[in-house]
Amino acid sequence: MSGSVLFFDVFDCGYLPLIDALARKGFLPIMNATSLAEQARARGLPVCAWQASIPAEIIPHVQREVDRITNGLTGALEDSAVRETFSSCLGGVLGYSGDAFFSQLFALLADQIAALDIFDALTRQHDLRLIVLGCDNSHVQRALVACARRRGIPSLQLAHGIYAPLRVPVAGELHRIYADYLAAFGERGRDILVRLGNSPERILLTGAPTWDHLYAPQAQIDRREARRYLGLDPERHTVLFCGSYSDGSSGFFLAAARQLTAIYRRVIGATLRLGPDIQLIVRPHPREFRRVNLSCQDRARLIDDHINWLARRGARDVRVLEDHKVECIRAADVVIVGGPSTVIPEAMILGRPVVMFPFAHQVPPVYSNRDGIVVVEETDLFPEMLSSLLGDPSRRAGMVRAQNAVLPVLNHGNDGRASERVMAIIEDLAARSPSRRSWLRARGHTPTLDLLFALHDPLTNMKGGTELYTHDLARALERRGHGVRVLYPRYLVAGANECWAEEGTYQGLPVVEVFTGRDAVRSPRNDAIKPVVRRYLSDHRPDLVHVQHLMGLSVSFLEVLQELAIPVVLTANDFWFLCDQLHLVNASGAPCIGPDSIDGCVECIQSRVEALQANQLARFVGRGYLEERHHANRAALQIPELVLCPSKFLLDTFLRYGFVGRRMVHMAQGASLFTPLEPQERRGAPIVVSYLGSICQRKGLDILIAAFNRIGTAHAELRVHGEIVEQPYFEEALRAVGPGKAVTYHGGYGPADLPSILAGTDVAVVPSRGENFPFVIREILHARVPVIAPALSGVPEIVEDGVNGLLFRSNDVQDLATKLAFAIESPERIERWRQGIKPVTSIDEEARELEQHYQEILGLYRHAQRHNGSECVARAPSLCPGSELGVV
Amino acid sequence: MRTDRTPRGPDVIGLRPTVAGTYVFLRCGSCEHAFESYQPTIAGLAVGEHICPTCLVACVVSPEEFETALARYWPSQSLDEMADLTEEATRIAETWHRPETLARLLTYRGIPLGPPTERELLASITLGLVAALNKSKG
Repeated sequence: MSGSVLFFDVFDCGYLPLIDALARKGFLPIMNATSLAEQARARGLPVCAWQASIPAEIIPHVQREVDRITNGLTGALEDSAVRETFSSCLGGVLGYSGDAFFSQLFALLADQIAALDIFDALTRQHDLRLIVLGCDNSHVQRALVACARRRGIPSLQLAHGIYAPLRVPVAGELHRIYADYLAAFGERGRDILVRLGNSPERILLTGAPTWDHLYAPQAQIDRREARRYLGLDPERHTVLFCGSYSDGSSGFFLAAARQLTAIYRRVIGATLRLGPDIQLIVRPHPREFRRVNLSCQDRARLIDDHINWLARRGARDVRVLEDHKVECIRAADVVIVGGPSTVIPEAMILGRPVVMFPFAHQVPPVYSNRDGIVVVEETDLFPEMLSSLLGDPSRRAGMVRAQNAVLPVLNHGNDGRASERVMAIIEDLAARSPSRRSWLRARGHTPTLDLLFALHDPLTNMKGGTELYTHDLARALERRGHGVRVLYPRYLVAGANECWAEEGTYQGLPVVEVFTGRDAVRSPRNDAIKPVVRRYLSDHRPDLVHVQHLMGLSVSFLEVLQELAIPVVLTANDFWFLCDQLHLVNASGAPCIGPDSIDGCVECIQSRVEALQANQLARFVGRGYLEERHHANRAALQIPELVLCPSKFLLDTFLRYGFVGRRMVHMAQGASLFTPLEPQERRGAPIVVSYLGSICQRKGLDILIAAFNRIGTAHAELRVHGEIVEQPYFEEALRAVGPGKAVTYHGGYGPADLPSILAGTDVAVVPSRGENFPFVIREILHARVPVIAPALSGVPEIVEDGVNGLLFRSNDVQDLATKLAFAIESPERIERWRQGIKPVTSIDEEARELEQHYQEILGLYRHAQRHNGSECVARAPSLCPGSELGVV
Repeated sequence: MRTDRTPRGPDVIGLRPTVAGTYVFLRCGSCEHAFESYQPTIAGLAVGEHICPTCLVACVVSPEEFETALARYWPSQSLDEMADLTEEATRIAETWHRPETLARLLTYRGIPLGPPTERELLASITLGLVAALNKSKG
């Protein structure tokens, strides 16, 4: 047996051949669709029921969990921050639909908890290799995908149509792929999803398995024969109308409902006008009244009532048929649909011309006249158009020819073999060893990864650049289909010996908090975390760990990764490895070129001694400490497979002082890019100079204020934006503002505030004393605002002097004053610098590049595993000891 | 089991669109009991009967009555206004579960349960916004 594959919410009997083929290849299908499972068993297939894994005590257990959440929600809703999330410019949602919302929420939570429990039991009972999902994006499906991802079980979603975008995205809708992969019908569907932000690597073109039978000879029924089969007059024209219904999934509910009823009435009206020669078949959407669990007799009575309603309006020759889709289409001279229905390609495959009424709220349209169909733009002219079409067989034949030409982009392959292609993907994804995912690799599809990020501080400290960057990068990799967890230390009081790990989430991102003593922040080693980290990573092994910062974790963390043979990538986000205070800034605030001597570093630390607790003095000041620190950090850099340096300056500095990794490359980081606003029109207004950043000594606001004081600023104002980190420093800086100078403080800001702040800024100044590759400068340039910044560290790699801004000598008030005056005196120069700004690399672009590095490293690991047996440390050919460093 | 096959016009006193379709709120023309019932449609036109759970009398919502209820209980909006409504409902659906207290509460065995509810809860959020909108328009 090759393992099990779970088919979840796969209901269509068109998938039976796929399930049949899978079973014949030795996989055990597990299904939750009882009807399809029965049909599969009737074929003699060994099928297991999802329901068979329901744990005995599931109902009381689920109830306890829901009660826990209910009780917790009562308290949580007293938090104004929580209530705020439900508020809207229209009013608080909870006040109007709170009861319905929470009632439904508890039901949804119960569904998810039950499904997760069943899934847990199922994975213990079966060797589950893959989940195949019917296309729904339901709450249960998404929860299962998240759970499966954590267990390293991939997920494949089967598209059930070509997604028709609405004017605006709708939460949880099918424009977003949550599974690892989507088996899409064709290029048209894929291109729409890619334009909506999905990664093309996750979209696999297969064609529609549920359309395979339409290519069979039995489906090409003669028109007259089809009419006879349906009890229609074989000689009279026949029009098929395929209707739909409006659901409440968006604010366009009323527009859709009105359009649908109007379309149906138009079709009825048009066929009435054409007289008794026309037979009308109406096909309801399959979901319209099947959801009510009506008996066959009740459904038949509904249809009779509807036909009577039609007859009272003069439409007497109407058949309402919910079955026999192939015969209905083949019987028709014209197939009319409301909106971009799945029936359109089906009718195309079956060789029937299509007329479509477009929906005003779905843009851009999925189908157009270029597809050979007729799109009804002028509804008043529809009766004449229909009459003309029915009277012109050559025109209808021409439409079918044009439709045939388009079919390959709608249904990949256009050959009725979609099930085979889906089967190949399932077989490959379900293969145990990643190296057998040959089909996907051969087509450039990247298997998804389970990644662990490690950094030095909780993500809740979102004011820190590394924390923000790590969060945004995690999200970007999630968008590419990878699972990402974030691990960081949480500090107990100094001297505490306990150490443990707790899992949780932060804004939906899984996190692992490793509690450890506060001494770890400045300790060269933190061996206390080793047993905890070892245990956690053994139980929840990621494919790869990407370390964003090692402070608090130390070389001890990397040693555990090495011991467990987990590949590591490390980004040096600052100079922590070689600088105790991270940023290569000496005590006077001037840039430091690096650890030329231990004594120099000792002096620098001792000058800050008042910042240290007395009991840390002996441990963290002195040659012994620094020697140990440098030794540990040099050893740490030897462990990762790859060390990424965001700036060339940092890379050069590390190399110069012997902090060398096995492979170190310069790779500029991306930034989370917002949509900039148009610059505000301020003709004749003062030049607005903005400061953005935390307010602390390192960020140099005092330098900027001193420089602003020295120049003529009659036509300039300085706006200060940022959180106050060092209050005494801020107060002193404000006191230094010269008389008559327009300097205003605007408080802190978040990412959402950047567009409006920068739209009102002519030039920004980032006067930092110490930086690496500052995000804020790139964000400012992305908004097309020139920057004046110090020529230190990686800044000149972002700001080109005289091109997109100006550089000044770091920590030099007079030089900054000169540059500021140069900018303020001539707004034309500012405009020229604005034109010189090049596009900024986005975090998504960086994620794509990183993904390639990850895959390369994992490929080397697998190669080493195959050839070296138990030695799992893969090394690139250029990295044999004593050879060149492999530095790029 | 119905006691009276004869269709009688109920009062449609509200409606509730969901992902699965539309539920109508009816006041039984026979016993005045108010109840909610799923509204089947064929090609978007209302069909079928609703059975009052109290007196078991069958009542029919005609396509015209359904369309009238749509116009009465859903605000008349331009497409741009519908887009704004959808965007706002989407924003709330995607963010209400993110505050840390809620995110922790809604985590089960490390799996966040809030985000997967977005699609299904959008309808009730939209209804809340519609009610707020109707109230603001008086």
